Amino acid sequence: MMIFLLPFFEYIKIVLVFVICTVLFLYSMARDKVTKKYFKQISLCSLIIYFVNILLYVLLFFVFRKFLYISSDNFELIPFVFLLVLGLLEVFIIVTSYKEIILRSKKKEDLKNVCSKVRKSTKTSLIWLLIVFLIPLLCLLILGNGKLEVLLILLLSSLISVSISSFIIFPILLKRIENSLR
Amino acid sequence: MRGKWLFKVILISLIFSISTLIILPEMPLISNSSMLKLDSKIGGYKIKLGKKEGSKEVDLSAFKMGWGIGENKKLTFKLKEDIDDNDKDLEKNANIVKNRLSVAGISDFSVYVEDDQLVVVFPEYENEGRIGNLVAGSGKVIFRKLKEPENWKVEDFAKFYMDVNQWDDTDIRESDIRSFEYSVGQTGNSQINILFTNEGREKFYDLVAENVNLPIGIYLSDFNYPFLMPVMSETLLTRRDLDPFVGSSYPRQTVEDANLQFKMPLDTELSYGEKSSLEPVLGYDFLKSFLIAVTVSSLLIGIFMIIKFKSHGFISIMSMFYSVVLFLALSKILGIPLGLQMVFGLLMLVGAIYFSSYILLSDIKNNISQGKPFDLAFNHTFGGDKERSFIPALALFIIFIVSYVVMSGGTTKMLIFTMSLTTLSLIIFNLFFFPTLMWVLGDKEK
Repeated sequence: MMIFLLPFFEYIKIVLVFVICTVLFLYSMARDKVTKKYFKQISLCSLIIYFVNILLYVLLFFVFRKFLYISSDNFELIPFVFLLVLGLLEVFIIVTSYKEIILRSKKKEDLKNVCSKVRKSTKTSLIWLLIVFLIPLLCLLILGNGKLEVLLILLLSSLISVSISSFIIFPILLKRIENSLR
Repeated sequence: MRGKWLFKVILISLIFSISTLIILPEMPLISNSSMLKLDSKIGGYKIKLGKKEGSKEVDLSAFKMGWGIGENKKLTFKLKEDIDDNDKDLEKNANIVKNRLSVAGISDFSVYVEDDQLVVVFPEYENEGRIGNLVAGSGKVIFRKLKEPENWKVEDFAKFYMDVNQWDDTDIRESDIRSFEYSVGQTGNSQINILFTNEGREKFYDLVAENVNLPIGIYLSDFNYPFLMPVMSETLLTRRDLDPFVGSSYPRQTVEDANLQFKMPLDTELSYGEKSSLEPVLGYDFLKSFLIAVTVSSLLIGIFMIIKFKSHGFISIMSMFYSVVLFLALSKILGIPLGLQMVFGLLMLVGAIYFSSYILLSDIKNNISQGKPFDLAFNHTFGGDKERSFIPALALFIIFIVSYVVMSGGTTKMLIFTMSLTTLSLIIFNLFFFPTLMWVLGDKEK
């Protein structure tokens, strides 16, 4: 029984490494007193992003699995690693904007104004993050002579889950931090 | 240009030139004109490290071809006994074999069931005999004693080793053993520590007591030759509470493979079927289309970067090109196969560099639009806030290094190793290539 669970544990292991290292890095970034106070909220936010990304990806994976024949282990692992890397970049973008809002609000700047500016710049960064990976994947899908379609579709599904979490979860989290700062 | 920056530019040109020479395949340079006579070559080097015989040689003649791009070997296996539901049993075995091959570090393999057979496909450079053992080894262990101990002579060792009929089965089986552990003895010879269960250890020392100065055959996976054939010494009986050490000439890998077979036994026994070669699944055609796709997408994003950031956008593309060349050179030196992992690594590198460039260049542009001179904007971006570009790259690099240590399985490790190299190239881009070229070529008015 343990043997059949081995691949599952391997996925858990890599997720744990990503999550633990991300939280440690975020802790090292939140050295000043002001952001340290909000560290719990920031790390919780990163955990939520990872969790939502993985959940959405797993759902999409099982949907696609019904229609696609996944022949190689690589086809399962590569999109998952891709998802985690995108998740980490997303976490850093969102957390940096969090930090900016916290620091600027403490400098007595108008919170509403700060939030709208940061929201705008963060959205641009997130959109850019998706575009730089979406364009090569689409080009490969169109120009790749139909090879690796399965892998490319799974990679695109990673992008879909990240974009959903970016544009649905991020505004909610931003609203929360805005409320907590008021 | 100040000395420090000049030195950095020269270093970049050196790194780029060496990386290009590493990537290049062997290209003949022949000229036989009245002006110049030349018979030489460039690229495709074979560099010998060390002067002694048997020293390591770094072969840079070609990229190692991995799954999908290079030729593959295919081995098929059948169930030893035909049963009603062959497919179900083969599927169970396929999962066990996948785990065995993963933990054994075989890279780029695939295992599937087809036409009542278990099929294993792997790259040409993997050892076929080793994979055959890992797949077909049932994992059963049996200890045997000599049928006619009075005939034993040390000089006839080979006769007893080769002939399974010289041996009688004992009741010590795989259930009596916990594992085989490889170790190096005080004299530097390799040895194997057989770890028994309490009951198994008792049985083993009883067997030793009956066979002092005689060999014992330890057979693994129903092979016709013993995995170990140690001669039992009386001194072994002095500490019956300890697990015995047995001298062996096997390398660590063989012992670990034996352990894998024994720890992950097959559900039903398999026998060797056929061996054949397979054409590359994706082939060179795919590489060509991949390169076209990456170039087209890079151009599309690059055009946008140039329109938005003008000359700075062009510098970021130039730096990206240097980083990609460096990544390919490192991959070739470290033997990363040209296959799915490398394709994915390249995609990640190009995407991450464009993303990082966008963040950095936007910051510089913002600062310049606020009226700051270029050097202040440059210092603010590259010297101060690194949280959106450099720190994620560093975090990813550390994460992949940690993952490489904690994860198991050849394919997984190879993917994570490739990703570590990708992030290393990204760090070099963020820390060295891009800032240096930006400073040197970015703006004249500082």
